[in-house]
Amino acid sequence: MKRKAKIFTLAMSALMGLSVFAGCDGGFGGGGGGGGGLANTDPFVDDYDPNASYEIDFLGWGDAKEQAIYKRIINDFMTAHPNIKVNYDACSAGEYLTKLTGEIRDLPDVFYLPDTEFYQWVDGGHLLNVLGENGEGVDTEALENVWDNAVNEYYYNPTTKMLGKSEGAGMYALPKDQGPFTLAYNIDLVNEQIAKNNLQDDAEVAALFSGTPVTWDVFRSAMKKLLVGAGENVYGIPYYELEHAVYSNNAEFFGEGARTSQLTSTATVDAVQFIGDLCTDGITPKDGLAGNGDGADNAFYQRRALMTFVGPWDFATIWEMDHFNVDLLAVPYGPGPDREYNTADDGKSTAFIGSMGYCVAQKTKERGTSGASLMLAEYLCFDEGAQRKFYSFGQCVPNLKDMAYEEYIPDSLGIMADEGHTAPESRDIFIDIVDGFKDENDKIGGKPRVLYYTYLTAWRINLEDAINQSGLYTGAVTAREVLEGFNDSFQASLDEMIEYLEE
Amino acid sequence: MTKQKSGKLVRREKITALVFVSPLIIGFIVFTLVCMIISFGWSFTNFNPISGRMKFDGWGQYVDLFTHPTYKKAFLDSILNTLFLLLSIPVSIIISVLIAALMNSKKFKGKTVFRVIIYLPAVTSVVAVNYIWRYMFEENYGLINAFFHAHIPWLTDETLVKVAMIIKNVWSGIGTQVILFMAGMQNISDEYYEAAELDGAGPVYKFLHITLPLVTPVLFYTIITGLIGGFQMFADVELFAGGHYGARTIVFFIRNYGIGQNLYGLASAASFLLAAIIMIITALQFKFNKWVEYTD
Repeated sequence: MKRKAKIFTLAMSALMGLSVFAGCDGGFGGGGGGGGGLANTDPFVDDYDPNASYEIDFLGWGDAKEQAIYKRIINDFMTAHPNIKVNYDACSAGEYLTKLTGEIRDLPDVFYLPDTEFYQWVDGGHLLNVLGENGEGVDTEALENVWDNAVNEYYYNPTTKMLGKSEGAGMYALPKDQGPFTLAYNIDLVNEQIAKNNLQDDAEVAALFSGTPVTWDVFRSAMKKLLVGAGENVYGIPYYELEHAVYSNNAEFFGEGARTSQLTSTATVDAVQFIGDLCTDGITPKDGLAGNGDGADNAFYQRRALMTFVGPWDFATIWEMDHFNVDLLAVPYGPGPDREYNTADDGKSTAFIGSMGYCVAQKTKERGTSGASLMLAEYLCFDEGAQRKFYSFGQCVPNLKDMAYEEYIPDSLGIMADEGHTAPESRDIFIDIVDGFKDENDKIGGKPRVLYYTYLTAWRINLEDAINQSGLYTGAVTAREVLEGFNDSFQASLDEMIEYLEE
Repeated sequence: MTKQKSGKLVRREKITALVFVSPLIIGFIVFTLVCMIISFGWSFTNFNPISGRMKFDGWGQYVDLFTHPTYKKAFLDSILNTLFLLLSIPVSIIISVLIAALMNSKKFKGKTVFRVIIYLPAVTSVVAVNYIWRYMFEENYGLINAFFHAHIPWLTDETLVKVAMIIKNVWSGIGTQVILFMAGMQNISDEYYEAAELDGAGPVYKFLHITLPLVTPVLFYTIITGLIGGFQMFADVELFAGGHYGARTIVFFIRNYGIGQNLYGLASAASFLLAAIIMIITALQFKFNKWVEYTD
């Protein structure tokens, strides 16, 4: 009896061990099934009949506030299109991709997709080419008023497997919004430090807050002056973004098509060294890149950092805080590969732009809902009324160029002022970033996050780990030593991704 | 006739029992066993549900865990971190046994109140516990550093972040263990203690030679469940350590490097290795459990 009990206990323990796997939701493999039953092989816009009724599913993410905004805007859409019923579902950002992947065999008609996931999803054939088979899909005229960078990001050529606009490429999502991620500073805290340290006439400090990007040297020098007497636990910035440093030094992580590492190029090495130098100067805490996330926001909100990185979405929170005055800065730039300022290869102030797309599922073609789904995606992407609501709620900057320049920056309709929102006063910096570099003299622009360009993402975690674990922040090693040590592993990751694409 | 009746009763009892356990069995088959079999199959492929790739890869995914430049270091580090974090098991067991012995003493006043207090962490939300402890360990304004007037980088140093996790896990784990050990101690017959007292045994002798040996079944249970739970640690890494590389466990690796990149083949291989480790350790514990005293 005792022996039987032991065997039973042993078996149960083994099963508890195997419960590592519990929670998986069964097979993804195998064929489709899915969706409605209206097979339709015609070009997808033809499946929309204004006299017919449609019911479409839309999956998004966001906190209660974002969900409430979406519900209102979707209601507006349904009022404008009474024959289309939209079932809106949303979950937290953290759960979103797991939920979406779980529905891979029967995706919702319309859904969000972060740009960092776009490569795999478009390569997997789950997304509908919204241009249509003969160019009869999305309203391309309306798209001309949407930020070029945002639109181009969602082009993909299934033959060459290359991202971006090219001959034969289709468009597989409409931009949800553009998230320019730049520096914001606490106006009151900065003014206190200026007064405390008699920096009213300091040229470098004045340049830092002039609205024009400054060099890394000026940035470091001004920040050091501002931090004098700020207190033991007050820093200039809680952390520094890797992409901002690399992009703003005219550098890259890899060459064209993410095939060859450029980590050990002079400009990239100098960019990482800049982040290390900020730590050794005491401008950022010594956990460097590891300090991002909630901790960085909290440090900024609790006056323990003069500035931090923010996106437009952060203003919904900032607006709710009493006596917290914030404005924007363009990120500083480096000297470029030749290490000399005022030469042709100087870096330019370049922030990363986080983006998401509204995707229409390929399956909508079988369901006969592709036309109605595209109409919803178009409405959310470039309908004037919807865009106005999004920016007035502190959700994003407008997708529409004319609205951004004529309405959002000057607040010409008084929408933001009516809500009591004046910040950020320098919101033109957000717009400069999303509008990209218009000409050679344009000093402020933006680029997609680096993960947008790569098929897999683990290399990025490994790179940050290599930097964080290296002793760069204490000056024990140089950026060159760190990056040369990591380069082989990085190249192997790039090779792996190329193999994936060529399979 | 009586035999026939009792046979029918036994059969009816068996059917009733089966009806009662069937939801559990069906749930286990559908949500665990089938998943396990599918996942085991995936571990021999390069399955990616998004790209739709699924090519037989033999032991390739298992080999990649230990040799692939992108995953090798992260996987081996996650194993070392997990093993380090398992130190919380002996520490919490020692503290729990001592607290249970103290509370079990007849001289201890306020037993009920203290029992409730000590059990509170077990019924508190894991998310809340992790966030509160994270704030307590914060380097610049955390309560712990403020109390000691120190600047210890608990959450940013590779080793200290593990130490902080162990402290937190000991605190949140002892509630249940104390209750279990107390129950075990209350089952020990007073006769043993009375006999020992007649022989002139002191409290320490009684604890070491009577209490401790007789709670070994509870000890065995807590070690096994502690190890299984410890190997599957995930939420702490995400919420408490903010994904810090010094705290990443095997399950964190499975989530971030496997599922997070849609590399389900790799994630399945890592999961089966983890399961194999847990099963081997559990089996070894049963094999070498002669130190456990079963009194009845």
